[in-house]
Amino acid sequence: MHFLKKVRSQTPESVELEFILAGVGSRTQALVVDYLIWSFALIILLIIWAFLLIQVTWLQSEAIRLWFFAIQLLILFAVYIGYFVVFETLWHGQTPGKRYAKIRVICEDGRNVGLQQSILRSLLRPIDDLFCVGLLLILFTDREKRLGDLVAGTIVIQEGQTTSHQQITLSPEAQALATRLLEIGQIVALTPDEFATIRRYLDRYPNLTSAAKVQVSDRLAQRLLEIIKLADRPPTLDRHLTIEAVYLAYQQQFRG
Amino acid sequence: MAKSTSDPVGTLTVGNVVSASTTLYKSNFKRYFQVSLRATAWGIAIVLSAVILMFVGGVLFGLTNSPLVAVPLGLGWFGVALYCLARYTTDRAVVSRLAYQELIDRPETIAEATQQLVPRTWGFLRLSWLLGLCMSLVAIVGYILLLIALTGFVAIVAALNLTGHPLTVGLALLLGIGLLCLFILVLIRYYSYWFVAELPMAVESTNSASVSMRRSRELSNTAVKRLQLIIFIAFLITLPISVLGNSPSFIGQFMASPVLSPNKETQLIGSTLMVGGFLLGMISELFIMPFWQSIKAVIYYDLRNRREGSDLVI
Repeated sequence: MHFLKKVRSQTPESVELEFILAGVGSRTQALVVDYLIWSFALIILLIIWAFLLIQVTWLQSEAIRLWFFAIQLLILFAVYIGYFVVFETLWHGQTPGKRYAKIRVICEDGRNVGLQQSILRSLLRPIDDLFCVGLLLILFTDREKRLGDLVAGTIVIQEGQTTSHQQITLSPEAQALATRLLEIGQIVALTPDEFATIRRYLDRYPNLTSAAKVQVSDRLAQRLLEIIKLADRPPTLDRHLTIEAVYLAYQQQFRG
Repeated sequence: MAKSTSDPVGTLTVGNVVSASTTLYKSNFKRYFQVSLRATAWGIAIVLSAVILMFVGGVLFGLTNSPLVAVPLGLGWFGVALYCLARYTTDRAVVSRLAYQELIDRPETIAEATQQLVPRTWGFLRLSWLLGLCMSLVAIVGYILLLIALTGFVAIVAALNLTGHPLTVGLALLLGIGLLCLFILVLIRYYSYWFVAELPMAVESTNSASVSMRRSRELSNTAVKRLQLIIFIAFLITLPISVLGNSPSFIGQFMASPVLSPNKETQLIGSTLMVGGFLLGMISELFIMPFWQSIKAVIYYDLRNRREGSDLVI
C-alpha cells in the first residue's frame, strides 16, 4: 500500500513520466518557511517606511501621506505576489520554503513552470489562504491541487530522489574481506533490491540503538551469507564487517 | 512503503510523515471514524452515568432522607467513570494499532485490534495517568525554576539599587520573554519524548506504562527536533477544524460571564453557545482524534525503522 500519491504525466514528446505528489505535509512545511521569510521581509519594509515617515519632513503633509499609504499597499501586494513569482520562475518551480521541504511546482505535462503559471498561482493564493480553501482542495482533490494549481494547470511534486547525502564510513578491514568474498562467495547471486537494503542498513547503522545494531546485523549477515553460499563457512564472525564487505564486493563486482 | 515514499535511506521526511498519515486516515476513514465514535460514546457514558446516578440519588434521598446514600452512589459512579475513561483511552490506542498494522502490511479488523487491546485496558489508563503526572511534574518543576530565576533577577536589581532604571525594565522584559519561551520549549520537548508512548503498549506485548514511556523516550531520543516539527505541522493542518469546533464555546464563555457581560440576554445566548460549542467541539474531536493517532502510528513506524531497522529485511 502506498501512502503518497503518484501521478503520471505525458510530455509533449509523448514521454510518460511518473512523479510523487508533494503531499499536504511537505506543502504546509514549505508554506510555513515561506511565510516566515515573507513576514521578515515585510517587517523590514515596515521599519523602513516608519523611518521614512518620521525622518522625511515633506512626507508628513496630509495629501502626500495618502499617496505614500497607497504606494505602501501596492508594494506590499507586489512583495506578497512577487516573492512567489520571482522564486518559482527563477528557481524552476521552487521557493526557499519548497527547497527546504524538497518539493517543486511543475506544469502538468512535466515542464518547468513559467512566468504565466507562477503569476496565476500567486494571484489565487490569497483566495486559497482564505478560510483554508487551498488546504481543503489539496486534501480532497485527486491530484492535490489548490485553486491556483487548478487554474494554472500545475502540480506540486517531490524532488527527484537522489542518492544519500550521508557518507558511509566502512571499517579498514572491509576491503580485504571484500576481495576474499569475491573469490570464495557468489556475490552475483545478490539482487539490486538486496544491495539497496544493505545500503540502507549502512546508512542508518550509526543511528541504530545498540541492541538493534546486534540484532539487525546478525539477521542481515546470516541471510547474506546464505545468498552468497557461505552460510556454512563464514569468513569472519564479525556480522557488521561481513555486511560491509558484501557491500564493497557487490560494488566491485557490478560497477567495476 | 519504505521504497516508494521515503528518502534514499528508507525513512520518512517531516512533511511525508504528515502526508502519509493524512492518506492513511483518508483511505481508512470509515473504520477509524467508527472507533472514534465508540471512544466518544465512552466519554458521553461518563456524563450520562452521572446524570442517572444523580436522579437515583435524588429518589433514594427522598425515600430515606439520609445524605449517606450519596456515598455508595458516588463510589459507584467513580468506578463507572474510571472504566469508561479506560475504555476511551483503549479505543484511542485501537486507532493507532489499526494504522500501524496497515503500515507494516498486516492489516487488522476493528474487532481483531480491539480483542488484542481490551485485556490491556487498565494499562492504557495507567499510561495516560503516568503521562499526565510526568507532564505536570515537568511543568511544575519548570515553573518553580522560572520563578526562582525571576526572583533572583529582582533580588539582584534590588541589591544593586537599579529599580526603575530603563535598562533594568528592558532587561526584565527580555529575561521574562526568554524564560517563558524556554519554558514552553521544555514542555514541547518532553511532550515529544512521550508522544508515541501509547504505541509500544498498543502493538508490542507490554502492559506496563513505565516500559511504554521508556520505549517512547528511547526511540525519540535522537529525533526530538523532527518530532516537534511534525507535531507543529500536523497542528497547523488540524487548526481550521479545531478553531471551528472550539471558538463557539470560547466566545460563549465570554458572553456568559457575568463580569464581562452584565446583560442577562447576552448571558443566555452565551450559555446556549457554550452548550452548542461543547457539542461542536466534541464533533470536531471526533474527526481530529484519528488523525493524531495515525500521526503517532506513522512516527512510531518511522522511528522503529530508523532506530531499530525493523524494515531492514532480506
